[in-house]
Amino acid sequence: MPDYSLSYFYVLTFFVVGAVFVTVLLTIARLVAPKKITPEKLRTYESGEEPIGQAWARYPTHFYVFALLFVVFDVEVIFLFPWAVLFRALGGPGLVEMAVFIAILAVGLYYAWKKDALNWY
Amino acid sequence: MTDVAAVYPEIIVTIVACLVLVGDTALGRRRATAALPAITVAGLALAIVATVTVVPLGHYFRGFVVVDAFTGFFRAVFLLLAIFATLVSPEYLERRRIPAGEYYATICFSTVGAMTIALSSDLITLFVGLELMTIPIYVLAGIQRGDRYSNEAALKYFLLGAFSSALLLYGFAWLYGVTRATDFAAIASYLVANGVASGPTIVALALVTVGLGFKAAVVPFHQWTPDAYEGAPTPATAFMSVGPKAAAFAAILRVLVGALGPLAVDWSIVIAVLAAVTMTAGNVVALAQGNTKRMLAYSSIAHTGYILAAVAASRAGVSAGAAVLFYLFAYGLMNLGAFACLLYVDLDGTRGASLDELNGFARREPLGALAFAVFLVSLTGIPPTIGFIAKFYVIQPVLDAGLAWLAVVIALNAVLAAFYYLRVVVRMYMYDPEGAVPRLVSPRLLSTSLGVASAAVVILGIVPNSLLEWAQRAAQPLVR
Repeated sequence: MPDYSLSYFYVLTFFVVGAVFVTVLLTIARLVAPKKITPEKLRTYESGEEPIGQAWARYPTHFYVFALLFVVFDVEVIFLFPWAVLFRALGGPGLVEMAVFIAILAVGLYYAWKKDALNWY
Repeated sequence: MTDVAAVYPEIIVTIVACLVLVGDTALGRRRATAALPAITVAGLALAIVATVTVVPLGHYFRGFVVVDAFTGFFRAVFLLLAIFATLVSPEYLERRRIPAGEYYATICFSTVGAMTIALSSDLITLFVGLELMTIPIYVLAGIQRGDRYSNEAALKYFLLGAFSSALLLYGFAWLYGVTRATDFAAIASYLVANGVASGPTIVALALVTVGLGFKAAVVPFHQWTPDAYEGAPTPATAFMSVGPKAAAFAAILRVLVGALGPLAVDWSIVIAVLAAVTMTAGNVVALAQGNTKRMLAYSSIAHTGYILAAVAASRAGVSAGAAVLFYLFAYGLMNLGAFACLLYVDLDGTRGASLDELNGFARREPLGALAFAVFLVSLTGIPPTIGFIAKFYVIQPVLDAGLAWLAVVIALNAVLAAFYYLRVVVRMYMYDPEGAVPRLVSPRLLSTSLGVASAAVVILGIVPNSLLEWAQRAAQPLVR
């Protein structure tokens, strides 16, 4: 059997050990722990606040446009970092390539802006 | 700078897409409806001129990109299909209030992705191209945002597309694990040097086959196809059914024949069985469809089977590769045309067209019906159309490769398919329309482009030689 199949065996071992460990602990807790249920304990936990309404609430779908644009620029930054680190090594061509990349993103932002995607309502 | 010169066509199409987006916002609504298709078509035509390459054939970008006859053929096919898809759309987009700028830009971006697949000589370039090709198509399927069916189509296509991409990428990872290379040539030479397929190689081969099978809609990985094709707006369906299919086959040729060619003994019989199942299932289910759009969706699955049969025959050499390329060109022309003919009915507000709606269509729209009839006859494979020549060239290498049973299956399927294609022609010409239906308002651009395309289907069916020679030259780089 080649090496890499063996390393998957380790992963499998960890998986089995982890699953057994969690199951055993939870079962023990379930058997041993005293059960005193009060309405306070059954209430949804909202970081110490009084819960308002159901968890299945409606919320504005406008968020998705912002989420989308956020992801785009988040990924842009991830690309910018390694480029910035190797700025000198990449030199002129690297600068041009990054300018093209940002220009294409800028066109997208311009389009979103003009189409009123950035306006709230 | 020769690296950059090697991808001029891709750069041009990207710039066109950005220009269309900017133009959509900068021009007024009235001027944009006329200007945007014009900009798109002009840009794509310029890109076709640029495919007559200015750089010598060979590898660029440190071996990630290859420019050869194969690349040139597929670039031209993708650009022609994009132009055709652009020309049939404007009237529909205006009538249904679909944002036109986004629509054309999305087609352009998808075309760039497809062209990237054609010029890839590395698993990484290929995967980037495949994603760039499919993600805009998900958008295209759901571009009619207010429509439930369009949303359903986009979501189904997206979920299964993402799933298949994951499988494919996992297969690539195994392949890299075995061969320690992502370059097609290096993978092929490793496989030649190390001989027979081991366990991990088979896993890689299976995952890659399933992943690419999803993209090309091979039975049993086709379930997304009918719903996605039926729900998407009809001009988008027309493009979806040909562009991504041709791109998926470009990927199949590059990976299975190019990189995994030494394993052909292992995969060719699997592909042959898949081809037989695909064409039979596609045709049998298409028989039972009452909606023409859904019928054409299943028929496109059947055609996938015919093309796959030529892939399975790859040991026959250049003629098999040329058959795949020729069939893809023919299929692109006639299938895009057939879906676009449904636009005549769709423009009046129905979804797809039930068979009854096509009764007496020839009296309402004589030229449109004639074009539709030509495309359907070509899809059936009756001479003198390009569809007949394409099937003829598929059967030859299949016989040469010793797969006589597959050739029989192809012939039987052609007979089966004739029933449901010609049924539509009969209804258009020999039935009376139900009630008094007014003559349709002819959309001029749609009629003109369909006229040119149907003429091409017939002319290339009579004189296919130059196209075939081009396909043979393009298939040459695949043979080692």
